[in-house]
Amino acid sequence: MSHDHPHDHLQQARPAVAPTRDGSLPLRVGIGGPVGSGKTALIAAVCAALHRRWSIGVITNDIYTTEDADRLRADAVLADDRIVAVRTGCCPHTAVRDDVTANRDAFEGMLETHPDLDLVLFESGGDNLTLTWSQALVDHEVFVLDVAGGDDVPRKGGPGVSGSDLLVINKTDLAPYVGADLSLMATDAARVRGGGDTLLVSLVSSDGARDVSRWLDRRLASRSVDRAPGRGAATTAGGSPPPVNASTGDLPPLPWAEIRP
Amino acid sequence: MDPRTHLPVEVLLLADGRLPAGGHVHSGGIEQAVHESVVDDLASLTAWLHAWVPTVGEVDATLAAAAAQGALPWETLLAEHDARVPVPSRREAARARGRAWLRVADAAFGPLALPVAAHRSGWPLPIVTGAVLVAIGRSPNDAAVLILHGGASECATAAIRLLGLDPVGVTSVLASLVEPIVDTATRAVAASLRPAEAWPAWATPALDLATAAHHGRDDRYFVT
Repeated sequence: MSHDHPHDHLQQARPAVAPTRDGSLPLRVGIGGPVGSGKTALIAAVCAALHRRWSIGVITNDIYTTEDADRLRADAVLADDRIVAVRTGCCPHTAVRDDVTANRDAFEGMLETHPDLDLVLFESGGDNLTLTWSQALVDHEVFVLDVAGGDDVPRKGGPGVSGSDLLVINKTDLAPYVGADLSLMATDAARVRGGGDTLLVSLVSSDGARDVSRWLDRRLASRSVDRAPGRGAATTAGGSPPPVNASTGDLPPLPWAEIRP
Repeated sequence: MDPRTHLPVEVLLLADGRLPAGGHVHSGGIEQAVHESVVDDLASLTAWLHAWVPTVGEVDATLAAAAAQGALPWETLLAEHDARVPVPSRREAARARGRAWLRVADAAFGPLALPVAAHRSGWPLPIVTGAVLVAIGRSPNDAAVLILHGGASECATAAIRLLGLDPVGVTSVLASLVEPIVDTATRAVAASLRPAEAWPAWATPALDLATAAHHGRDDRYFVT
Protein backbone atom coordinates (compact mmCIF):
# COMPACT_ATOMS: atom_id res chain seq x y z
CA MET A 1 0.00 0.00 0.00
CA SER A 2 1.11 3.54 -0.49
CA HIS A 3 2.66 5.58 2.27
CA ASP A 4 1.36 9.08 2.02
CA HIS A 5 1.86 10.52 5.46
CA PRO A 6 1.63 14.29 5.25
CA HIS A 7 5.14 14.75 6.61
CA ASP A 8 7.80 16.93 5.18
CA HIS A 9 10.20 16.32 8.06
CA LEU A 10 10.95 12.67 7.45
CA GLN A 11 14.56 11.72 7.43
CA GLN A 12 16.73 8.68 7.69
CA ALA A 13 17.45 8.25 11.37
CA ARG A 14 19.54 5.82 13.33
CA PRO A 15 19.45 5.02 17.04
CA ALA A 16 21.31 7.60 19.09
CA VAL A 17 23.75 5.22 20.73
CA ALA A 18 24.81 1.84 19.47
CA PRO A 19 27.23 0.01 21.76
CA THR A 20 30.30 -1.13 19.89
CA ARG A 21 33.55 -2.84 20.70
CA ASP A 22 35.77 -0.29 19.05
CA GLY A 23 36.82 1.41 22.26
CA SER A 24 34.70 4.51 21.76
CA LEU A 25 32.46 3.56 24.67
CA PRO A 26 33.18 2.58 28.26
CA LEU A 27 34.50 -0.88 28.89
CA ARG A 28 31.46 -2.98 29.77
CA VAL A 29 31.97 -5.93 32.06
CA GLY A 30 29.32 -8.42 33.20
CA ILE A 31 29.69 -9.84 36.72
CA GLY A 32 27.71 -13.07 37.03
CA GLY A 33 27.52 -16.00 39.39
CA PRO A 34 25.19 -17.86 41.72
CA VAL A 35 23.18 -16.07 44.40
CA GLY A 36 25.36 -15.46 47.44
CA SER A 37 28.67 -16.03 45.68
CA GLY A 38 29.79 -12.48 46.43
CA LYS A 39 29.08 -10.51 43.25
CA THR A 40 27.94 -7.37 45.05
CA ALA A 41 30.78 -7.50 47.57
CA LEU A 42 33.27 -7.95 44.74
CA ILE A 43 31.84 -5.00 42.82
CA ALA A 44 31.96 -2.82 45.93
CA ALA A 45 35.57 -3.75 46.55
CA VAL A 46 36.57 -3.21 42.92
CA CYS A 47 34.87 0.17 42.85
CA ALA A 48 36.68 1.15 46.04
CA ALA A 49 39.98 0.18 44.47
CA LEU A 50 39.47 1.77 41.06
CA HIS A 51 37.08 4.69 41.39
CA ARG A 52 39.84 7.27 41.86
CA ARG A 53 41.57 6.08 38.71
CA TRP A 54 38.58 5.51 36.46
CA SER A 55 35.06 6.83 36.04
CA ILE A 56 32.80 3.90 36.97
CA GLY A 57 29.10 3.08 36.77
CA VAL A 58 27.22 0.01 38.00
CA ILE A 59 23.96 -1.46 36.67
CA THR A 60 22.38 -4.15 38.83
CA ASN A 61 19.89 -6.82 37.76
CA ASP A 62 18.37 -7.93 41.05
CA ILE A 63 15.74 -10.58 40.71
CA TYR A 64 13.00 -8.40 42.09
CA THR A 65 14.33 -5.66 44.33
CA THR A 66 16.88 -2.89 44.29
CA GLU A 67 18.69 -4.44 47.22
CA ASP A 68 22.08 -4.79 45.55
CA ALA A 69 21.96 -1.24 44.22
CA ASP A 70 20.95 0.03 47.66
CA ARG A 71 23.82 -1.86 49.25
CA LEU A 72 26.29 -0.39 46.80
CA ARG A 73 24.91 3.07 47.44
CA ALA A 74 25.20 2.50 51.17
CA ASP A 75 28.88 1.77 50.68
CA ALA A 76 29.06 5.32 49.28
CA VAL A 77 31.97 4.51 47.02
CA LEU A 78 30.17 5.82 43.97
CA ALA A 79 27.66 8.64 43.67
CA ASP A 80 24.07 7.47 43.76
CA ASP A 81 23.43 8.29 40.11
CA ARG A 82 26.28 6.01 39.08
CA ILE A 83 24.35 2.99 40.37
CA VAL A 84 21.17 1.98 38.55
CA ALA A 85 18.91 -1.03 39.13
CA VAL A 86 16.86 -2.52 36.31
CA ARG A 87 13.86 -4.84 36.62
CA THR A 88 14.03 -8.13 34.84
CA GLY A 89 10.47 -9.45 34.87
CA CYS A 90 11.46 -12.52 36.90
CA CYS A 91 13.98 -13.52 34.23
CA PRO A 92 17.45 -12.17 35.01
CA HIS A 93 19.08 -14.38 32.40
CA THR A 94 16.82 -13.03 29.68
CA ALA A 95 17.71 -9.47 30.65
CA VAL A 96 21.43 -9.98 30.01
CA ARG A 97 21.29 -12.48 27.19
CA ASP A 98 18.11 -12.84 25.07
CA ASP A 99 16.75 -9.30 25.37
CA VAL A 100 19.08 -6.72 26.86
CA THR A 101 16.82 -3.73 26.21
CA ALA A 102 16.37 -2.74 29.87
CA ASN A 103 20.11 -2.88 30.52
CA ARG A 104 20.92 -1.08 27.31
CA ASP A 105 18.48 1.71 28.13
CA ALA A 106 20.00 2.03 31.59
CA PHE A 107 23.48 2.09 30.09
CA GLU A 108 22.59 4.78 27.58
CA GLY A 109 20.89 6.83 30.27
CA MET A 110 23.95 6.62 32.51
CA LEU A 111 26.20 7.56 29.61
CA GLU A 112 24.15 10.69 29.00
CA THR A 113 24.57 11.69 32.64
CA HIS A 114 28.23 10.68 32.80
CA PRO A 115 29.78 10.91 29.33
CA ASP A 116 33.22 10.43 30.89
CA LEU A 117 32.54 6.85 31.97
CA ASP A 118 35.49 4.48 31.56
CA LEU A 119 33.97 1.33 33.03
CA VAL A 120 30.42 0.06 33.48
CA LEU A 121 29.90 -3.06 35.57
CA PHE A 122 26.70 -5.04 35.02
CA GLU A 123 25.74 -7.29 37.92
CA SER A 124 23.53 -10.20 36.97
CA GLY A 125 20.63 -11.30 39.09
CA GLY A 126 22.05 -14.53 40.42
CA ASP A 127 22.64 -17.38 38.07
CA ASN A 128 23.12 -21.05 37.57
CA LEU A 129 26.20 -22.24 35.72
CA THR A 130 24.71 -21.69 32.26
CA LEU A 131 24.98 -17.92 32.28
CA THR A 132 26.16 -16.25 29.11
CA TRP A 133 26.06 -12.53 28.40
CA SER A 134 24.98 -10.90 25.18
CA GLN A 135 27.82 -9.51 23.12
CA ALA A 136 25.54 -6.53 22.56
CA LEU A 137 25.79 -5.73 26.27
CA VAL A 138 29.29 -6.51 27.55
CA ASP A 139 32.87 -6.72 26.36
CA HIS A 140 34.05 -9.10 29.11
CA GLU A 141 32.36 -11.63 31.37
CA VAL A 142 33.43 -12.36 34.93
CA PHE A 143 31.88 -15.33 36.71
CA VAL A 144 32.02 -15.56 40.50
CA LEU A 145 31.88 -18.88 42.37
CA ASP A 146 31.76 -19.47 46.09
CA VAL A 147 34.06 -22.05 47.69
CA ALA A 148 31.25 -22.97 50.08
CA GLY A 149 29.05 -23.86 47.11
CA GLY A 150 31.10 -27.03 46.68
CA ASP A 151 34.57 -27.73 45.36
CA ASP A 152 33.10 -29.81 42.52
CA VAL A 153 31.47 -26.82 40.84
CA PRO A 154 34.41 -25.92 38.57
CA ARG A 155 34.53 -29.54 37.38
CA LYS A 156 30.85 -29.36 36.39
CA GLY A 157 31.65 -26.57 33.98
CA GLY A 158 28.84 -24.84 32.11
CA PRO A 159 29.14 -21.69 30.01
CA GLY A 160 29.52 -19.42 33.02
CA VAL A 161 32.45 -21.40 34.41
CA SER A 162 34.11 -22.44 31.19
CA GLY A 163 33.40 -19.51 28.87
CA SER A 164 33.85 -16.43 31.06
CA ASP A 165 36.88 -14.21 30.53
CA LEU A 166 37.69 -14.37 34.24
CA LEU A 167 36.60 -16.95 36.80
CA VAL A 168 36.71 -15.70 40.38
CA ILE A 169 36.65 -18.38 43.07
CA ASN A 170 35.58 -16.40 46.11
CA LYS A 171 35.53 -17.02 49.88
CA THR A 172 38.73 -19.05 49.98
CA ASP A 173 38.84 -18.29 53.71
CA LEU A 174 35.91 -20.67 54.15
CA ALA A 175 37.66 -23.65 52.59
CA PRO A 176 38.81 -25.24 55.87
CA TYR A 177 35.31 -24.98 57.32
CA VAL A 178 33.50 -26.62 54.43
CA GLY A 179 36.16 -29.16 53.50
CA ALA A 180 36.81 -27.60 50.12
CA ASP A 181 40.00 -28.49 48.25
CA LEU A 182 41.22 -25.21 46.71
CA SER A 183 43.93 -26.86 44.63
CA LEU A 184 41.36 -29.23 43.17
CA MET A 185 39.13 -26.27 42.30
CA ALA A 186 42.03 -24.46 40.66
CA THR A 187 43.06 -27.56 38.70
CA ASP A 188 39.52 -28.28 37.54
CA ALA A 189 39.00 -24.64 36.58
CA ALA A 190 42.19 -24.61 34.53
CA ARG A 191 41.11 -27.75 32.72
CA VAL A 192 37.54 -26.73 31.85
CA ARG A 193 38.64 -23.20 30.97
CA GLY A 194 41.50 -24.21 28.75
CA GLY A 195 43.92 -22.10 30.74
CA GLY A 196 41.65 -19.02 30.91
CA ASP A 197 42.18 -16.56 33.72
CA THR A 198 41.13 -17.79 37.17
CA LEU A 199 41.64 -15.96 40.45
CA LEU A 200 41.13 -17.35 43.96
CA VAL A 201 40.18 -14.56 46.33
CA SER A 202 38.86 -13.80 49.79
CA LEU A 203 37.13 -10.49 50.22
CA VAL A 204 37.46 -10.68 54.00
CA SER A 205 40.85 -9.01 53.82
CA SER A 206 41.02 -5.34 52.93
CA ASP A 207 42.93 -5.97 49.71
CA GLY A 208 41.02 -9.12 48.77
CA ALA A 209 39.86 -7.71 45.45
CA ARG A 210 43.30 -6.48 44.44
CA ASP A 211 43.91 -9.15 41.80
CA VAL A 212 40.49 -8.69 40.24
CA SER A 213 40.98 -4.93 40.25
CA ARG A 214 44.31 -5.33 38.51
CA TRP A 215 42.74 -7.64 35.95
CA LEU A 216 40.22 -4.92 35.15
CA ASP A 217 42.74 -2.10 35.38
CA ARG A 218 44.96 -3.81 32.82
CA ARG A 219 42.10 -3.95 30.33
CA LEU A 220 41.09 -0.37 31.03
CA ALA A 221 44.64 0.85 30.61
CA SER A 222 45.28 -0.94 27.34
CA ARG A 223 41.92 0.24 26.04
CA SER A 224 42.50 3.83 27.05
CA VAL A 225 45.48 4.07 24.70
CA ASP A 226 43.05 4.14 21.81
CA ARG A 227 40.57 6.49 23.44
CA ALA A 228 40.29 10.23 23.34
CA PRO A 229 42.53 11.93 25.92
CA GLY A 230 40.83 13.10 29.06
CA ARG A 231 38.12 10.52 29.19
CA GLY A 232 39.67 8.80 32.14
CA ALA A 233 38.00 10.53 35.07
CA ALA A 234 40.99 9.91 37.26
CA THR A 235 43.34 11.68 34.91
CA THR A 236 44.49 14.93 36.42
CA ALA A 237 44.52 18.25 34.62
CA GLY A 238 48.04 17.59 33.47
CA GLY A 239 47.11 14.22 32.08
CA SER A 240 49.21 12.25 34.55
CA PRO A 241 47.91 9.43 36.72
CA PRO A 242 46.48 10.55 40.05
CA PRO A 243 48.51 10.30 43.21
CA VAL A 244 47.97 7.16 45.22
CA ASN A 245 47.73 7.26 48.98
CA ALA A 246 48.59 3.90 50.44
CA SER A 247 47.48 4.92 53.92
CA THR A 248 43.90 5.33 52.73
CA GLY A 249 43.75 1.90 51.20
CA ASP A 250 43.75 3.15 47.64
CA LEU A 251 45.16 0.92 44.95
CA PRO A 252 48.97 0.82 45.10
CA PRO A 253 50.93 1.85 42.01
CA LEU A 254 50.54 -0.65 39.23
CA PRO A 255 53.29 -1.70 36.83
CA TRP A 256 51.18 -0.89 33.80
CA ALA A 257 50.03 2.50 35.01
CA GLU A 258 52.62 4.28 32.88
CA ILE A 259 50.86 3.35 29.65
CA ARG A 260 47.80 5.36 30.61
CA PRO A 261 47.32 8.48 28.47
CA MET B 1 -0.63 -13.68 -5.95
CA ASP B 2 1.65 -12.04 -3.45
CA PRO B 3 2.56 -14.81 -1.00
CA ARG B 4 2.77 -12.23 1.75
CA THR B 5 -0.98 -11.90 1.79
CA HIS B 6 -1.05 -15.47 3.04
CA LEU B 7 2.18 -15.71 5.00
CA PRO B 8 3.21 -12.38 6.51
CA VAL B 9 6.58 -13.58 7.71
CA GLU B 10 7.73 -10.09 8.65
CA VAL B 11 4.66 -9.69 10.88
CA LEU B 12 5.29 -13.09 12.46
CA LEU B 13 8.83 -11.97 13.17
CA LEU B 14 7.65 -8.79 14.88
CA ALA B 15 4.95 -10.70 16.78
CA ASP B 16 7.43 -13.20 18.21
CA GLY B 17 7.35 -13.04 21.99
CA ARG B 18 11.14 -13.31 21.96
CA LEU B 19 11.57 -10.14 19.93
CA PRO B 20 14.41 -8.40 21.78
CA ALA B 21 12.53 -5.16 22.35
CA GLY B 22 12.17 -5.23 26.12
CA GLY B 23 8.65 -6.62 26.34
CA HIS B 24 9.61 -9.33 28.79
CA VAL B 25 10.01 -6.86 31.66
CA HIS B 26 6.43 -5.62 31.28
CA SER B 27 3.34 -7.43 32.56
CA GLY B 28 0.71 -5.06 31.17
CA GLY B 29 -0.90 -4.78 34.60
CA ILE B 30 -0.91 -8.49 35.39
CA GLU B 31 1.62 -8.22 38.21
CA GLN B 32 -0.60 -5.87 40.17
CA ALA B 33 -3.66 -7.98 39.31
CA VAL B 34 -1.85 -11.00 40.76
CA HIS B 35 -0.79 -8.96 43.79
CA GLU B 36 -4.42 -7.97 44.39
CA SER B 37 -5.63 -11.54 43.76
CA VAL B 38 -7.69 -10.40 40.81
CA VAL B 39 -5.85 -12.95 38.70
CA ASP B 40 -4.79 -16.21 40.34
CA ASP B 41 -5.60 -19.01 37.89
CA LEU B 42 -6.42 -19.76 34.26
CA ALA B 43 -10.07 -18.81 34.65
CA SER B 44 -9.37 -15.40 36.14
CA LEU B 45 -6.62 -14.79 33.57
CA THR B 46 -9.10 -15.61 30.84
CA ALA B 47 -11.62 -13.14 32.23
CA TRP B 48 -8.97 -10.46 32.65
CA LEU B 49 -7.71 -10.80 29.07
CA HIS B 50 -11.19 -10.92 27.57
CA ALA B 51 -11.84 -7.61 29.32
CA TRP B 52 -8.48 -6.16 28.26
CA VAL B 53 -8.84 -6.79 24.52
CA PRO B 54 -11.96 -4.67 23.84
CA THR B 55 -10.93 -1.85 26.22
CA VAL B 56 -7.23 -1.03 26.60
CA GLY B 57 -6.51 -3.26 23.64
CA GLU B 58 -9.02 -1.54 21.40
CA VAL B 59 -7.73 1.91 22.24
CA ASP B 60 -4.15 0.91 21.47
CA ALA B 61 -5.21 -0.98 18.34
CA THR B 62 -7.07 2.06 17.03
CA LEU B 63 -4.00 4.24 17.56
CA ALA B 64 -1.84 1.68 15.75
CA ALA B 65 -4.30 1.45 12.87
CA ALA B 66 -4.54 5.24 12.65
CA ALA B 67 -0.75 5.54 12.51
CA ALA B 68 -0.76 2.96 9.72
CA GLN B 69 -3.49 4.88 7.84
CA GLY B 70 -1.09 7.78 7.51
CA ALA B 71 -3.86 10.38 7.44
CA LEU B 72 -2.83 12.44 10.45
CA PRO B 73 0.33 14.28 11.51
CA TRP B 74 2.44 12.44 14.09
CA GLU B 75 1.89 15.22 16.61
CA THR B 76 -1.84 14.58 16.49
CA LEU B 77 -1.37 10.85 16.97
CA LEU B 78 0.90 11.42 19.98
CA ALA B 79 -1.60 13.83 21.54
CA GLU B 80 -4.48 11.40 20.97
CA HIS B 81 -2.47 8.64 22.61
CA ASP B 82 -1.57 10.67 25.68
CA ALA B 83 -5.15 11.86 26.07
CA ARG B 84 -6.25 8.23 26.35
CA VAL B 85 -3.56 7.03 28.77
CA PRO B 86 -4.07 8.83 32.08
CA VAL B 87 -1.33 7.09 34.09
CA PRO B 88 2.07 8.78 33.65
CA SER B 89 4.07 5.61 34.24
CA ARG B 90 2.17 3.85 31.46
CA ARG B 91 2.76 6.71 29.04
CA GLU B 92 6.44 6.64 29.93
CA ALA B 93 6.63 2.87 29.50
CA ALA B 94 4.83 3.07 26.14
CA ARG B 95 7.50 5.47 24.90
CA ALA B 96 10.42 3.39 26.20
CA ARG B 97 8.92 0.36 24.55
CA GLY B 98 8.26 2.19 21.33
CA ARG B 99 11.86 3.35 21.18
CA ALA B 100 13.18 -0.18 21.75
CA TRP B 101 10.70 -1.69 19.31
CA LEU B 102 11.67 0.79 16.63
CA ARG B 103 15.35 -0.01 17.20
CA VAL B 104 14.67 -3.67 16.47
CA ALA B 105 12.38 -3.01 13.50
CA ASP B 106 14.84 -0.52 12.09
CA ALA B 107 17.66 -3.06 12.33
CA ALA B 108 15.46 -5.72 10.76
CA PHE B 109 13.84 -3.79 7.93
CA GLY B 110 15.37 -0.34 7.91
CA PRO B 111 16.54 2.18 7.96
CA LEU B 112 12.92 3.21 8.15
CA ALA B 113 11.90 6.75 7.29
CA LEU B 114 10.66 7.96 10.65
CA PRO B 115 11.43 11.26 12.40
CA VAL B 116 14.43 11.36 14.70
CA ALA B 117 12.12 12.06 17.62
CA ALA B 118 10.71 8.56 17.30
CA HIS B 119 14.17 7.15 17.94
CA ARG B 120 15.44 9.64 20.49
CA SER B 121 12.63 10.43 22.88
CA GLY B 122 10.49 7.52 21.85
CA TRP B 123 7.00 7.37 20.48
CA PRO B 124 4.39 5.20 22.21
CA LEU B 125 4.44 1.57 21.11
CA PRO B 126 1.08 1.64 19.30
CA ILE B 127 2.12 4.62 17.17
CA VAL B 128 5.49 3.05 16.36
CA THR B 129 3.82 -0.24 15.50
CA GLY B 130 1.49 1.41 13.02
CA ALA B 131 4.28 3.51 11.53
CA VAL B 132 6.57 0.52 11.10
CA LEU B 133 3.90 -1.79 9.71
CA VAL B 134 2.90 0.63 6.98
CA ALA B 135 6.56 1.33 6.22
CA ILE B 136 7.13 -2.36 5.50
CA GLY B 137 4.02 -2.60 3.38
CA ARG B 138 1.55 -4.10 5.81
CA SER B 139 -1.97 -2.95 6.56
CA PRO B 140 -3.64 -1.05 9.41
CA ASN B 141 -5.39 -4.29 10.29
CA ASP B 142 -2.04 -6.05 10.67
CA ALA B 143 -0.93 -3.26 13.01
CA ALA B 144 -4.09 -3.59 15.09
CA VAL B 145 -3.83 -7.38 15.34
CA LEU B 146 -0.16 -7.15 16.26
CA ILE B 147 -0.86 -4.71 19.09
CA LEU B 148 -3.72 -6.85 20.41
CA HIS B 149 -2.00 -10.22 20.23
CA GLY B 150 1.32 -8.80 21.41
CA GLY B 151 -0.26 -7.11 24.40
CA ALA B 152 -2.33 -10.11 25.38
CA SER B 153 0.55 -12.57 25.06
CA GLU B 154 2.78 -10.28 27.09
CA CYS B 155 0.24 -10.26 29.92
CA ALA B 156 -0.16 -14.03 29.65
CA THR B 157 3.58 -14.64 29.76
CA ALA B 158 3.85 -12.54 32.91
CA ALA B 159 1.07 -14.63 34.47
CA ILE B 160 3.02 -17.80 33.71
CA ARG B 161 6.11 -16.40 35.38
CA LEU B 162 4.32 -15.04 38.43
CA LEU B 163 1.82 -17.83 39.07
CA GLY B 164 3.45 -20.86 37.49
CA LEU B 165 0.39 -21.44 35.34
CA ASP B 166 0.43 -24.36 32.92
CA PRO B 167 1.85 -22.78 29.75
CA VAL B 168 -0.15 -25.14 27.56
CA GLY B 169 -3.28 -23.96 29.32
CA VAL B 170 -2.25 -20.34 28.85
CA THR B 171 -1.80 -20.96 25.12
CA SER B 172 -5.36 -22.21 25.12
CA VAL B 173 -6.44 -19.02 26.84
CA LEU B 174 -4.70 -16.97 24.15
CA ALA B 175 -6.39 -19.06 21.48
CA SER B 176 -9.75 -18.15 22.99
CA LEU B 177 -8.87 -14.53 22.17
CA VAL B 178 -8.61 -15.09 18.44
CA GLU B 179 -12.16 -14.09 17.64
CA PRO B 180 -12.23 -11.13 20.04
CA ILE B 181 -8.94 -9.93 18.58
CA VAL B 182 -10.19 -10.21 15.00
CA ASP B 183 -13.42 -8.42 15.88
CA THR B 184 -11.65 -5.73 17.88
CA ALA B 185 -9.10 -5.14 15.13
CA THR B 186 -11.90 -4.73 12.62
CA ARG B 187 -13.58 -2.14 14.83
CA ALA B 188 -10.24 -0.40 15.39
CA VAL B 189 -9.55 -0.10 11.68
CA ALA B 190 -13.05 1.25 11.04
CA ALA B 191 -12.65 3.75 13.85
CA SER B 192 -9.25 4.85 12.61
CA LEU B 193 -10.89 6.11 9.40
CA ARG B 194 -13.09 8.48 11.40
CA PRO B 195 -12.04 11.79 13.00
CA ALA B 196 -9.91 11.32 16.10
CA GLU B 197 -12.59 12.58 18.45
CA ALA B 198 -14.68 9.58 17.41
CA TRP B 199 -11.98 7.04 18.27
CA PRO B 200 -12.63 4.81 21.27
CA ALA B 201 -11.45 6.15 24.61
CA TRP B 202 -12.56 3.41 26.97
CA ALA B 203 -11.98 4.31 30.59
CA THR B 204 -10.48 1.57 32.76
CA PRO B 205 -10.23 3.25 36.16
CA ALA B 206 -9.59 0.04 38.11
CA LEU B 207 -6.68 -0.88 35.87
CA ASP B 208 -5.39 2.70 35.90
CA LEU B 209 -5.42 2.81 39.70
CA ALA B 210 -3.73 -0.59 39.83
CA THR B 211 -1.09 0.59 37.38
CA ALA B 212 -0.38 3.65 39.49
CA ALA B 213 -0.22 1.56 42.67
CA HIS B 214 2.12 -0.90 40.98
CA HIS B 215 4.52 1.85 39.97
CA GLY B 216 4.87 2.91 43.60
CA ARG B 217 5.88 -0.53 44.86
CA ASP B 218 9.52 -1.37 45.53
CA ASP B 219 9.01 -5.12 45.43
CA ARG B 220 7.80 -5.49 41.86
CA TYR B 221 9.48 -7.75 39.33
CA PHE B 222 8.10 -5.95 36.26
CA VAL B 223 8.38 -2.37 35.09
CA THR B 224 4.62 -2.25 34.44
